[in-house]
Amino acid sequence: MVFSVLEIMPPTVAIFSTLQDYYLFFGTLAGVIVVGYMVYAIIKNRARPGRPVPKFHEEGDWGHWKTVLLTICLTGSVLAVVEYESFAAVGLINMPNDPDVNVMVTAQQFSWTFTYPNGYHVNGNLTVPQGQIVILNLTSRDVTHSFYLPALDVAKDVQPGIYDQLWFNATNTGIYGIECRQLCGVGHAFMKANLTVVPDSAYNKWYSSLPTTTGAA
Amino acid sequence: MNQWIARWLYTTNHKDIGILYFVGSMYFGLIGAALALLMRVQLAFPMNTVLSASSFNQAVTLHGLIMILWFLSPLSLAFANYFMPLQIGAEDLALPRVNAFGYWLFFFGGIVASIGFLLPGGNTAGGWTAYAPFSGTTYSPGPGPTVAFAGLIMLATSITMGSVNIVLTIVHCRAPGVTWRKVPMFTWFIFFTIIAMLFSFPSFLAALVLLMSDRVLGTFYFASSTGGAILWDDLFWFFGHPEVYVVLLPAFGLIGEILPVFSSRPLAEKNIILFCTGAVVLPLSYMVWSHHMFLTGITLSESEAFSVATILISLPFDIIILAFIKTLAQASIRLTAPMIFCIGSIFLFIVGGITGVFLSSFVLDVVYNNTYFVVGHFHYVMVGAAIFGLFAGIYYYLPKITGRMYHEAMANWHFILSFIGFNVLYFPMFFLYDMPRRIYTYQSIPSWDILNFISTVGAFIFAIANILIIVNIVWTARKGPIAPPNPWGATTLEWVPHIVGASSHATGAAGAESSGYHTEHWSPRPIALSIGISISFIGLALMVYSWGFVVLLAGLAVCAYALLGWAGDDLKEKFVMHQELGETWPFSAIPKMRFGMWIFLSTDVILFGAVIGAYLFIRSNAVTWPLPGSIHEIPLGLTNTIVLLTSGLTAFLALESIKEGNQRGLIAWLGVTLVLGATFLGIKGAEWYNLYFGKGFSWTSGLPGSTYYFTVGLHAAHVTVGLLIMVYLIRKAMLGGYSKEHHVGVENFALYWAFVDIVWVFVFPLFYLL
Amino acid sequence: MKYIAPFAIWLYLIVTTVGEVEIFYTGPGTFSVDTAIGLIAFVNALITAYFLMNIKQEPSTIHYLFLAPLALVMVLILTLLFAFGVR
Repeated sequence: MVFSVLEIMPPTVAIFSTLQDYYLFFGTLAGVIVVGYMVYAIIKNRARPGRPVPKFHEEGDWGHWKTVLLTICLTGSVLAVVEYESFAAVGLINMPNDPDVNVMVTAQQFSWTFTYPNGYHVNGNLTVPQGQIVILNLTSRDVTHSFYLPALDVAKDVQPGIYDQLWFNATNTGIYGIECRQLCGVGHAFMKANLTVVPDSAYNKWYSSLPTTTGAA
Repeated sequence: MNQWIARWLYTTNHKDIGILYFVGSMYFGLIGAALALLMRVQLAFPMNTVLSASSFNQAVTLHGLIMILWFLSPLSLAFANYFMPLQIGAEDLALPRVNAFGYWLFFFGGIVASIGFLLPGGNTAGGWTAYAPFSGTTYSPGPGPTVAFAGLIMLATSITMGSVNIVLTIVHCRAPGVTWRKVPMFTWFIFFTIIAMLFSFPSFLAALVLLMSDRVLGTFYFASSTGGAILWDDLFWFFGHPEVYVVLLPAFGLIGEILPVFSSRPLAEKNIILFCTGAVVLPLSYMVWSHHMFLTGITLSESEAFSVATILISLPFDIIILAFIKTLAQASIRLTAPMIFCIGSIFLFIVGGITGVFLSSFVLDVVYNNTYFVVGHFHYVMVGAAIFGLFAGIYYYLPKITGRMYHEAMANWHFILSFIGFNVLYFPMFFLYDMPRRIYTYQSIPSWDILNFISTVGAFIFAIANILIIVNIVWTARKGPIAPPNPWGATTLEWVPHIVGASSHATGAAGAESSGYHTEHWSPRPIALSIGISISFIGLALMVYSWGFVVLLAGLAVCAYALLGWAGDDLKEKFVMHQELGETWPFSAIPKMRFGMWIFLSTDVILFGAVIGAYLFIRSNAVTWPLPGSIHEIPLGLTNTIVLLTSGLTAFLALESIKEGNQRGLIAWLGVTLVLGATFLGIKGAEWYNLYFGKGFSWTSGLPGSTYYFTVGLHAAHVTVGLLIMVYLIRKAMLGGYSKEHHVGVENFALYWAFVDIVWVFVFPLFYLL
Repeated sequence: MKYIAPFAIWLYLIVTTVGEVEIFYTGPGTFSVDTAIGLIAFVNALITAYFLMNIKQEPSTIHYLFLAPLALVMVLILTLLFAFGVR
């Protein structure tokens, strides 16, 4: 996702991208080194007629356990670094203390219903203000679903009888897709909704003009 | 009946059963592959209409179930059955008829599960993970899913019995001289695989039986809205995570055999590899399962703990892979087909393993969970690492099984095409990390369109490439050049002809022929019992129709007939294995069958632990629960407890009697135990009668009813089995079958009965007093 | 009588089980009563295992063999019980 100067990277996307870069870097490096060495070893050691069998290190009962221990410490340290970065990125999971908007999301086979604090509920479209912290309270009316907002790198499983939460801050206006990520029946592939991000002032105007009972389906 | 057919239906010989597993697993593998190809065709283009949503959902579910449980593990068991006894110099598995029974349960279980496709409403369609509450009757109605879960119960039972059998063989049936140090790598890895299976499958079995109870009896274990979904998640993934190592480790074991042979040197850091694998299997693989549940709303501390544990479990695998590579680094490498498949497997495991580290992060998992990134990851390890390792094993052992050498050039082409096809099929999935799993179609997005199309092309290359191995096997069996007994120059016992138990070790076709026709080892009971169980389960599922009950009764009749036949065979001592005592350290002081009973009881511990854990979970999350003492008749429960505890004493006394050679004492005390056990069931029946008809308290009344009837019912089922065993013991004692020296059956029964007592010591206060 | 030990164990088990019920009636559902009952059950299970199951006579390897599934069951139950977060 490329953000121009005028667009700001949403914080949830920033957290995810940074972490992913760490894992990609170390993962690719490790993979290239190990696989490269393995390929080199195989090519170098191919049995050829007349080539003597190379010497290998003889081992006692526990082999070269000191080398093994050192290897464990080394790989462990690399893994500890990336794991630490995961712990440092826990902001993607932790709920902020001062949300600006709180919306109840009810999943059912096969649609999403959004209920605002004033009681207004609508099916299939979630309107939120730009640049504000939004917390979604998720529950399901039937089976397990999973709320997924790819544009903002947030997702959470939605279970019946249980309320769970996720947060995001949509820094750029536009319309984004919401998908279901847990197989929930024949309508799973098309269980979608829209996230409509509007400027803050437009949101306030729209919200205050809402009827407080049934909204447009 | 035709001798050839009779041989394959009634055999209990380990090599024959190995071949049966091989053919059976290949059969189911082809079905799973066909389902996969259908899915890939459907997903090749956006908004495609080859499969409907319902068909696709069934296909993706059965593809997963069949490939993991009816293809990969049975293929590993084929190798284990054929070669593990040869490697340790055992005559056969410890319990050959149980082995045959396990095979037929697996085979018919797959058939039963597939019947779901033909029933109205179709087969189960909620993913192989069968998450609750979708898997219940409200959202997956009809008999189709019920038979699928029945087939799974048969499979889980088959594997649990098989694990006990294999562990018993490896521990107790090694020939003299085969100490633990000398046990080859493949057998060691099978041993570790079995330990992973032993404690994980009972949890799966518990979850499945609870689900079956919900579906057929109407209990509420997974249907309740207070955490039913999480209960299934925990019970399933407690099994699900060790299961992936069950799938992987036999392939690693084959690599452990093949790599050194074609490197002309011993495996590097062999004991450390074994130590690492042991650490992975117990305890690490049982401590990471919640990484499949990061997004289900578990607490942050639980996520963090399981994330760290998952990182920890990657460390032993690092060492194992690096040790494999070190073996290659100082070697003289012969690039035969088995060797190149091993190398391919190691490479694919590295890719798959690294992507697994990505998924161990509870933050990254937010975006990757349930997307094609995960699909790519597990196919790299389960198909790439495991299958390529198993292919290596097939080529490696084909000369031993058939006595002929395979076609090397065809095998090389198989590798090249399947390696290319595999990567073209699965690598694009890592870039589809924003595409949800299990969607039957998608709207056109340029990146998705092209990647899905490439993946489908890879699927066809991979499928066509894999036809080559089937062609190769058939060609080899018919026209391959005759191979010497040890064409690879390997040093393990299975390659040496004519050692201890000559009939077991003749090579190639001659070996299979000579051992297969020992008709004194034939028994029709295993296949008969499996058929009876299949019919019973189908009847149970069909009870949605009124005539299903008739089918159920017919199935139970077949079961009874088979069991009576089996018991009759045992009374006549028709199948007694006489094995010379070999290496049995560290269990030398315990006779084989008693050790087998201990292992079986340890699986029963997990089964009851899961069911009681389910009760504790449900109770701690329930909003209301009846006050203790308000429902159950405590004096009646207390009396029943006293009855059962007394029967424990009399069972002990029965054993003491026969230890002194007192046959009449044995029969007398067994008789008392039988009467007390029957009294226990009678009082229980009276209690249930009062609860059901008097108070209207049944298993469909709600959570307290569901948990009480199921848990106490499971215990009562164990008591009933104990009573049937007692009838057999008394009959055999009356025929003079027990003496001061030979009374293993009584010992084992006493152990089992004491276990049943112990479970009741917990269940009684849990349900009546707390 | 030769079988003093098993009878004594049996008597102990019966008495303590009746004791469980008596303790129950003093305060059903309270924490201290529940704990007492749990303890008695736990000890009784150990005693049955040790004496009636003859674990006492088995080599110590069997003792360790049985600890593994018990430990795993504890891990499963503890995770099940503490699985939930904020609801």
